[in-house]
Amino acid sequence: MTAPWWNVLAVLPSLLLSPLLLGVIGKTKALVAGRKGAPLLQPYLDLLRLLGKGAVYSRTATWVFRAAPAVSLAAILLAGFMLPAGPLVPPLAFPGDLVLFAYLLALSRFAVIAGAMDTGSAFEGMGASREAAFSAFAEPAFFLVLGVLAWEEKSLSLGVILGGADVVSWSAQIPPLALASAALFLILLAENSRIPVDDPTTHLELTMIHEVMVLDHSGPDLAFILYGSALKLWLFGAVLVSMLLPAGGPAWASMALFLGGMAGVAVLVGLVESAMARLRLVRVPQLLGLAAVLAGLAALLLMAGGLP
Amino acid sequence: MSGWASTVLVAVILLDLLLSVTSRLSVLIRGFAVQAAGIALLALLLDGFDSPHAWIVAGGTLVLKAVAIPYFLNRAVIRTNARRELEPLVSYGTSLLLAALGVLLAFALASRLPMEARRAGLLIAAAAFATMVTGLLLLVTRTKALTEVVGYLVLENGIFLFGLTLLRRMPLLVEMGILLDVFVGVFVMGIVVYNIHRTFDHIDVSALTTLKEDEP
Repeated sequence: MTAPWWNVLAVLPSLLLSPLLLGVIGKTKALVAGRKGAPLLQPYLDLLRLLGKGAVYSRTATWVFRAAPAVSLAAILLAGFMLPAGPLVPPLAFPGDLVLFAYLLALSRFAVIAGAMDTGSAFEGMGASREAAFSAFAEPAFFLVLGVLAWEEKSLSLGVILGGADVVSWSAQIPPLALASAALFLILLAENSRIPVDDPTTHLELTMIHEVMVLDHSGPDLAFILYGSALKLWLFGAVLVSMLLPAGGPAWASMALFLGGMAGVAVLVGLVESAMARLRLVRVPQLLGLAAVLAGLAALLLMAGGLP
Repeated sequence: MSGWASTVLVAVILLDLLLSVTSRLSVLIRGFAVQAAGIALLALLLDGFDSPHAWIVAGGTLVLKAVAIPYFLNRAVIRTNARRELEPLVSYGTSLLLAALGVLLAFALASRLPMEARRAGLLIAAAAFATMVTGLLLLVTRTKALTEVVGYLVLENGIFLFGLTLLRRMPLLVEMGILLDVFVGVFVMGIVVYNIHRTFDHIDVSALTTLKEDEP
């Protein structure tokens, strides 16, 4: 591979701006509810505050618990190396990297789940079991969406299928594109434990999924996990925005469109969170089933488009 | 086929999926009405906006199926006080899965169809079959009389959609006759549903199997 070193720059926006995404979501929710809300940069301050603190470890917890935040964050960081950012080409690209992308995110989730089980707390075990179950439902839908994109662009590399979105080929395929992006948005909500799947702000252990798993983490560990989940939100948002964005045009315009699109995704998530309540747990698999059906329909339409 | 027509067809298929999962009768009726309106629009999109034949068919469909029939059904919902389908024979999750399988089946069937009417494309036949399958699904798996009426109407939507591929050859009289039949049918079913409700205090059709004359 002879990718120039400055391709690494494609990772910078995600590293620097992902906590801002959480800030935008929080601000949107506050404005819709008629409050003033926390400042946009609050997530950065939270991370700084947590990094300055010490960590507390339970006596029953082993090295699994201590390793979990670092492994999780590292896996997500590596996944970020495969995504393009607007005009910037991803530094890591090879045929089939979309499978690695999906399973790096799965590895990060596995680390958090293992850490949660390691605490020996009943609450966290419950959250871990829910997270594992729902991610099993989200995975087929996510692969169907990636499959749709790969089929359309005839490539198995994320950099190509997301970066090279050709305006002409897509404008002929509006319905499958719309279906696939709707499915991806549902997956984004589920994977990042946002409302209507999970409530990121609640403190009732019985209703939480993701948050309950990280109850025992503190200090820098918690900062790693928070930063990791912000990054993950950014990654899913970046997949959604890049698959919709047309390629070409001047680099600065493409970058501005990309960043604007990311802000748009954050506002959309905020609006959904303001408008909806959490679904009952038994309804969540139905929601993810819907995402899979939408993505499947998109695939069907694409294939049918190839028929006479 | 224009991009607009295929967008409407995809919307029709999505509405099929919605109809197969919703538990609220009001959503069911509104979904059916929107689907009928979409099909009316499709009649215009496929046949061109300058054909008077298409305008009459679209107008008739819109007035009867998107306005009049939903109005009667909503009145029946209020009178029988049945807001929700509480006990379907299969769960809503399974329903969605079956409907999705139906869509798959519809595409497989449509691609095998030796249609000279392919001028409208594969998608319209697939959407028509998918809508018919959804209608059948609603008819078979629901237990409330009103839901079954909607199932019958959705089935009819599918048949009408399939007829659109042959619109130029289908005489206007036949179209109008079908629409009138459907309307009268819904009218009668509304009265029947109300009477079932008055006699039994609910509109659960599974109870109808126990209906018997007294043994002599």
